[in-house]
Amino acid sequence: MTAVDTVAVPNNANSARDWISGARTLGGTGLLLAALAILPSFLGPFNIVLGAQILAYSVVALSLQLLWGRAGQLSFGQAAFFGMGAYAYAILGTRYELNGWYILAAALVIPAGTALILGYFLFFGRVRDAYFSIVTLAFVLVANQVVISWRSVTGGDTGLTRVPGLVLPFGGFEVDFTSRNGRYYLGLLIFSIALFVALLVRRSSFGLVLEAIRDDENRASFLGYNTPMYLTMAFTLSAALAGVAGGAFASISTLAAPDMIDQFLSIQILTWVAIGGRNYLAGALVGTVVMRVLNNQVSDVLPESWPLVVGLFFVVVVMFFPAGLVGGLAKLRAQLASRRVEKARA
Amino acid sequence: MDLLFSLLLDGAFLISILGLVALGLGVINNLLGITNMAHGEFIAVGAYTVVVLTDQGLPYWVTLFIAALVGMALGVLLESTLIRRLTDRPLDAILVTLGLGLVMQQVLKEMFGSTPRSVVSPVSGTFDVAGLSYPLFRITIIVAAVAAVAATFLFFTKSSFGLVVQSIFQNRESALTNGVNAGKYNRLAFGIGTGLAALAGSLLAPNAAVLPTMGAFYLAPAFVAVILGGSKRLMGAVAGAAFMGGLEVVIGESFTRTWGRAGVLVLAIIVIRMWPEGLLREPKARVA
Amino acid sequence: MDESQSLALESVTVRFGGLTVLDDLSLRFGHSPISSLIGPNGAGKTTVFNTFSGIVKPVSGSLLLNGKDMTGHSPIEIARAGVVRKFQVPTVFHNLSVGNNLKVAAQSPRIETAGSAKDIRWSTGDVAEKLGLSSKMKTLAAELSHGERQWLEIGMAFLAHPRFLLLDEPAAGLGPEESDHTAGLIRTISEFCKTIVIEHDMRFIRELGGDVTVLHQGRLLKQGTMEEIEADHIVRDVYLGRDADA
Repeated sequence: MTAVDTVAVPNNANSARDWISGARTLGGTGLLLAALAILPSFLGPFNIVLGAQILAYSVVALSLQLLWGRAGQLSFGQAAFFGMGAYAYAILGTRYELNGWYILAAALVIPAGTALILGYFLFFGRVRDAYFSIVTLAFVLVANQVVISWRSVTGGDTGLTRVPGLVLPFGGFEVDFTSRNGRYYLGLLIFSIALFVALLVRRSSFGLVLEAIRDDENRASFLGYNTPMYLTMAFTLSAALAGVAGGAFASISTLAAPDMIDQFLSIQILTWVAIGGRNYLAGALVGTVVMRVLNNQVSDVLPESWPLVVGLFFVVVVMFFPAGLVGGLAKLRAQLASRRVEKARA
Repeated sequence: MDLLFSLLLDGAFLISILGLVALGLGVINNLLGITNMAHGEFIAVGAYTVVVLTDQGLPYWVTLFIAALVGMALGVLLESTLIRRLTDRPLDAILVTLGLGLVMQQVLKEMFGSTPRSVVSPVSGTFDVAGLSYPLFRITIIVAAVAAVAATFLFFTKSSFGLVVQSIFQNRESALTNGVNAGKYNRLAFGIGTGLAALAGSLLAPNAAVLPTMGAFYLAPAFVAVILGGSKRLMGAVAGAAFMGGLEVVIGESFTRTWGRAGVLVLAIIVIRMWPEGLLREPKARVA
Repeated sequence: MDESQSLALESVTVRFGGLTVLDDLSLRFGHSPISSLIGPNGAGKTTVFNTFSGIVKPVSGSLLLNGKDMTGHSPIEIARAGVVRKFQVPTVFHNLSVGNNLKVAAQSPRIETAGSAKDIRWSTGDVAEKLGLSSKMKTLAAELSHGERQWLEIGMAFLAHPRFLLLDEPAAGLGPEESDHTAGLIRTISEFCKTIVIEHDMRFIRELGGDVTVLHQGRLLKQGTMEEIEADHIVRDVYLGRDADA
């Protein structure tokens, strides 16, 4: 007996269309990254660092989009993994003279390992949905308490300052990300990798199975999929991305502080994704950029009122535009297109 | 012996506050099927109501009732303007309460600033027994909280409103298809839930630094208490709160307060994992 | 009997609370490519399927797949071993396109067993064509008609490499034409895997052919060809009689 064809073959029309949409995504991504690469020449020194921070924040937004938008599990504690990455980077960076790769690896492995254990524990125990969300909320509260009380290592309320920038050795030479522009390009590098991972997940069968689980987990498990394992993997990958984002953020900002691992940042990350559009990769990016830039503007005028703006904006979006800005635009485009078709028919 | 005595009373105090918070959260959770993420902010609303009114010279015991009513009115208002529109999108309803929590917290911050406010204890003196002493006021608070829980219990078991709510608890679908006006019950249940949270805040006010974020730490343990109590029994949440509060006091006494809270949350995660349907679960009805 | 292609219950008892739903029931499927399971409401038909797919654990007795004891195995393990289920209410992935629904099913994991000659993996395109859904590969499943959704689910179950395909009321709520298309689909599928169907509609069962098993109050009443069943007066009394009157 021979397996005639192990991979499902789509018919020709579909494969051509898939190819075109793939090429378009690739082209769009390339253009975006190219534009981001030349952006620093148009930005003032302050805005370059802001841009670098937004890039790192975008990565943590992508990490939540992966878990929430694709797998349907909402984490109220994404900042826990971001903060673990930031503190891992800051603690190792300030205390030891380590190879930059090891520090970066720690910022990835520690959050990912924690998520693997937590996810295994929860998802295999049938903890899902709101229960999962609240447990992640409790988790970020615990992480915040630990950071604040473990003063000797984490610096307590003030956190760790004068964190050295990242230097990555490549064989004989080193890439130094400590200058202002260097910090921006560290943000861009991490962002490009995260975007690539997210696109890969979206187009892979792993991503498809996650979407199937989001839609109907029972059905997916009756097809023989080990759904708790898929969810655990998604959670782990999400935490890995968030951790790297945190590590990069600590390097870019040269500090690690308790507000990088608290409930408010978790909620903010959630609002970025929700406001941009939870079901769209682009939504996570748009939401992050809009809200961070807005944050900057509002802070100039009303320094204390940012949480109020976030809260109100978030409530309005969830109530009236549940698909977010990008989702709303996509819907509008589809409506216009169908109207055009109707007109053509008439 | 001295330690045990104060430990017991500390535990009773924490449990009575957490019990009220969890009871309110449970009523909302079990009736509307959503988690009120702004529950902690309602605690702060209750506490600030007491701060403002006692400043005006009103006696503390009167402000308690007003605080509960303010919390209730605010809850009814939010339910009927926002939450009601999201009955078919429960997850979005939770997100909206999360956003509302942020808004409420910030509004309180703008109104009262971020420096802690305090309320003078209306009862002074200590409770002395066998050479041990404990602030008398804390004991009166415990009594008041127990009375409030008992009143809520009586209301839900004796009044016709409460009986309908119980039937919705038992079987949401069939009760709602049997022509129960879900809107009215949702609205009132949400109000009762937030009213209980505000009452908890008002009882807490003389014993704690009154801050916009003062309720943040009650939400997670209260939610766990609701899960532990299971969704069929109203008082399950109170039993869950007893478990959580007792644990926190014991761990907190053995280590530090911070580790007490952290430890309770970690244990809570473990407990949810082991008993996802609650400690007091009913015999599982198997479905064909 | 050839044990390599059989799905059987041996002295299985299932209780819900105090109610005995399956009562010391022994059943065997696999000798005919298509089998129908019939019986009045409450006879335990869906419970038989639930036991086969591991959702319901029997109080006593055992579940055998190809002679191997599968009692107590999880639904996932049983699905991977090749017992695939289509539910009474069509459950497809509503927010995925038809093509992606089929793809998820086609890529689902299973245990490779030394297979029969009919162990061919189908492409999603071929299956979509058989289902009559080729032109709707990009359509969201939520936008399909009830009948199309039933067919999609049958197609998905088929793509999940079943040895035994369990179909719970595949023709429920379908018009006569759709119902005929469904029967044709099931006949095509049964060339590649054993198919067991729960149905009420006797016309549909005649259309399918194959053997018929009658359950009554959790017990086996009779197993045989359609002619034998129709000739049996006890069966007629409990079940077919009412159907004939209607």
